[in-house]
Amino acid sequence: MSQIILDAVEKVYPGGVHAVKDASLVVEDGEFVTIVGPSGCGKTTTLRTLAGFEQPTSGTVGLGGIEVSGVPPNERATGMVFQDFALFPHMTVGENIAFGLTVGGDWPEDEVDTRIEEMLELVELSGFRDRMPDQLSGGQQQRIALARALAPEPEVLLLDEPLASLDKQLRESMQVELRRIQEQIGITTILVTHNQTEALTMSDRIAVMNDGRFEQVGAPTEVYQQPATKFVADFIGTANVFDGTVRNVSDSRVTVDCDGVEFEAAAPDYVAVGDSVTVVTRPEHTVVEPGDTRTNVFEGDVSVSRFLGDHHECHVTLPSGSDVVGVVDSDGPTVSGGDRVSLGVDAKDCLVVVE
Amino acid sequence: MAHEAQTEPATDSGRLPPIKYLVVSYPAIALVTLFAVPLLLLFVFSFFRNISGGYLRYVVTAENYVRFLQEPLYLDRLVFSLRIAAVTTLGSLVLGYPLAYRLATTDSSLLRRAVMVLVVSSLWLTFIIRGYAWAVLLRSNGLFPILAAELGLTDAPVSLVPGYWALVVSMVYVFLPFMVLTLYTSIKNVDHELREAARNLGAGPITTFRHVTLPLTKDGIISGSLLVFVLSMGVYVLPRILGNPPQWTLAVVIGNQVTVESNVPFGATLSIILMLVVVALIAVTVRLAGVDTFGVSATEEGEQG
Amino acid sequence: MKVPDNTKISQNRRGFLKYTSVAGAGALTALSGCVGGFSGDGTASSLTVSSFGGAFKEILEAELYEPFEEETGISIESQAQGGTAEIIPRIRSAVENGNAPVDVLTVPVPGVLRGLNSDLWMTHEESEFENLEFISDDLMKYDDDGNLVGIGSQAWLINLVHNTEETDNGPTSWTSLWDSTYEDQMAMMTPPVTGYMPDIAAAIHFDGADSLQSESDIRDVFEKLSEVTPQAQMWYTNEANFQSSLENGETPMGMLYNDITLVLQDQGAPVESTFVDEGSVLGSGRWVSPRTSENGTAITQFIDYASRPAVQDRVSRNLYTVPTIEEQHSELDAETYQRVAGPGLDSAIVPNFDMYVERQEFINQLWNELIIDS
Repeated sequence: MSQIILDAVEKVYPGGVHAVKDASLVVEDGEFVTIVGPSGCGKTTTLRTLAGFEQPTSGTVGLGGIEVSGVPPNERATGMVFQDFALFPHMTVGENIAFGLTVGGDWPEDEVDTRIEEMLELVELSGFRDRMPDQLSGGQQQRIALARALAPEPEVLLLDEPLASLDKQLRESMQVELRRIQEQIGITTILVTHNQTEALTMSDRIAVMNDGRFEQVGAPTEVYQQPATKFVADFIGTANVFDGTVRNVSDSRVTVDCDGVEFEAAAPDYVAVGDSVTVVTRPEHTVVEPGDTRTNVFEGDVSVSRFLGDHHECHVTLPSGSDVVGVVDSDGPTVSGGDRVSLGVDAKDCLVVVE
Repeated sequence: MAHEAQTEPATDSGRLPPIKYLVVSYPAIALVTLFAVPLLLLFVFSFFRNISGGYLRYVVTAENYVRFLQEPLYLDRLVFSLRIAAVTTLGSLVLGYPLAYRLATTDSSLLRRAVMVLVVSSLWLTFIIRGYAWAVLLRSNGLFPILAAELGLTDAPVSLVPGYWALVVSMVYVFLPFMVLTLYTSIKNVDHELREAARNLGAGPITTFRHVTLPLTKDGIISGSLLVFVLSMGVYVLPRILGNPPQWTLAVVIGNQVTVESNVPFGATLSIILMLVVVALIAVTVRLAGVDTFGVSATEEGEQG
Repeated sequence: MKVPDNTKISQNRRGFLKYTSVAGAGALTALSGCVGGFSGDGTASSLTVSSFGGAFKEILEAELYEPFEEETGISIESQAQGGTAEIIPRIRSAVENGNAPVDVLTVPVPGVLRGLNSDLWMTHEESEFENLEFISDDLMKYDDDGNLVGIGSQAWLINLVHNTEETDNGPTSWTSLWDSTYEDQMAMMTPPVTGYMPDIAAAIHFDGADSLQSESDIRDVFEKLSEVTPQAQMWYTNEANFQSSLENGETPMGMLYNDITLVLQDQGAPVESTFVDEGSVLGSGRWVSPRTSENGTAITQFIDYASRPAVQDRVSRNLYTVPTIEEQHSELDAETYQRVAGPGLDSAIVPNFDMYVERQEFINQLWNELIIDS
């Protein structure tokens, strides 16, 4: 049982900084959960509290069914991969990996040997055992850091922005690698990052954090398609966000007036006429000069059109002044700055977010 | 210690513009006149002959060096100087490391600044004042003997000065700041994330210290120890204030040769020998430890230490 | 070097300090430069005189220099000087450059001898003096050609002293230096050219100066002398160091100059000076001048004045040094003479000064081995 339970964890620093206000989360055995949010939202503090480097001001931390709030880090069954890898520069790769076994624990010598080889194989760096950390590339260091964290068979794996210092290509391949390894071992994992792409691609569930609180916790598709708050909608993926007032409510539709532009959107639960809501559309659903009919159509002037390989991304300014991002299909018309265009989005692709 | 002259960037032709020779030459001139020339004079004087009851004769003779080898007293003083330097180094390391560690790892910048100011400002006072302060504290009506008597360690307040331990205590006190400052930098350079990684992997605070912090501060320990050792080899004032003749270091004997015995050549000889011993020690340490001390490195450029 | 603590002198001895004093102690580089102003006819109107510093210098200023100034109109610039080892090199380099940083100095005998070896001293014409007949013959120094170079200036006795609050019975015999009853309680003087401990050992345990003639005899004396080290609590070069320890009782007894001890006693310190049973050690100084000085006339006048019995007596009364005039010429009353010279100079131990000059290196080597290897 390596379930993680964060219950109303709060952390206030001596200087008065209220880093974590109310974090509650349950991570199931073998789950890969990513805590994602902007810098300063409290995600790293939450991770460090899990690792034992911070003590919660209030609330509890549970690992594997035991409350560990007061337990020091060296007595918790957590393995952490640090942002800068933190490999011991005065030890070989093999010694680094074995640290948790020989120094932090007391595994018998022959088992240590086998385990080192196992871990090196897992991260596909067999033969690197006698190298020094400064002889490794960034990606290799990261993999060794992972091997080191996993070697002592921890119950929980914690990753603190592990891919932040890698270049884009490496980052993408590591995303795949990390997930593969995690699934192979089946270890409960929490990853902390500000990169929402990582969150979406790697996780079983995402916990979106803002200003010390989780604004939404759910599967990537759910968080993406049904953001619970404006922040989540904005942070995860790109979004067009329109604030407005509800004009009409029917069975499955609501009509929202956003600064003169009227949207017909899918009706959420519990909304009434006059409520202040936010309408959110994704660019991929907001088509410029759509070939077919769309529920909501509006016009605006193109400010920028960007070619992104498989489609064009169009930034359009509406008469009301708001900016909308839409897409032009590859077989759609060519648009350039200054053109007046129409955009269309279906009602089912318009989300209504009630805060 | 020697410092490198800054070289100005070269012009396109690859040679230094004439005006810049002036800038480069100033440290070079200072080095030569204030350091190299007196040293050369010392070396030359060590070969002159001393006249009892008179001055000296400008003849070249090795008799002073022979005297050093033949009269056991002077080798004995050299050994004593080495011994007391070693004790002082050990003492300042044992006391200095915990202090430097606390300073380098504390979160409170107020504490750090306050202690640093204390440590550094004690360097502003001359050796003499600090030495006499210990003389006052350690004589029979001084604070420490009285304390010792109160605590029952001795029957009555016993004066420790002049004496060997008074000298050691004052030397450790005087040189501790050098050790602390060197260690502080070294410890600070150990990324605290490394300590956290060790804790995360199951190492307690002491184990973390032993396996991570200590090995990574090896350079600082060696640099600091070398610095204190070399400084200790040259103490002149403290043995005279706090010690009796059996505690006189070679430096005191050298001073006496010149001021009391009017034997400048022999004093010069002893000085040269003392200097050679110290230089040899530094060279051996740097070589063995492979440490980048004072910019003198035993490893080649490009190699990682 | 005698440097009594000058802060302890009471007001009436300080006199008028209208003389500029230049501290000469420790300055090995010669303060070369012509000193002394000249009036048109070649006679000097000022003289530079140096002596041991501290109270010694202050009392000389009050009782010797100032009256001299009043009488002759020649002003005196007073300087303090360091030990023999500092004075001689300084004078030597000045003389080599043709300069005279000071006109008259009072130098202990070994220093005078060393100066002779380097031909530093001006010779004097005895006929130009009036008062030399009063000075003890022993205290006049001639060079190898029979010329007068040094005239007795002051004499001093090294006694055994003790702190009266720490002990009732201070040591009275030199044998106490070898007596384990006094273990770790005594202050002893170093270097030997100042403290004359080899002479003490020779006088007590051997045949005096006869036992200091050959190297092997000297070694025997030093062997015996090495037995005093257990009794030594401190070895001092500068009497100021022992003074403070003596007064506060830290070092309750030891060897010290009679004159300083009496000065301290007058100030109320609980100290007592005892003339030693076997004879106190008699050291003395001579007025000498660098041969490069151009103030010969004024120098003669000064030394002559200092040799006047009345002047010698006056200095002794205040400084407690032993007058260098013969006893018969002194008008000190019996009580004062007793305080200053004890049982008299005939019973004193006179050191073998030549040894400290001719065998300087040898003696120093033996001495260093003695005090360091203890």
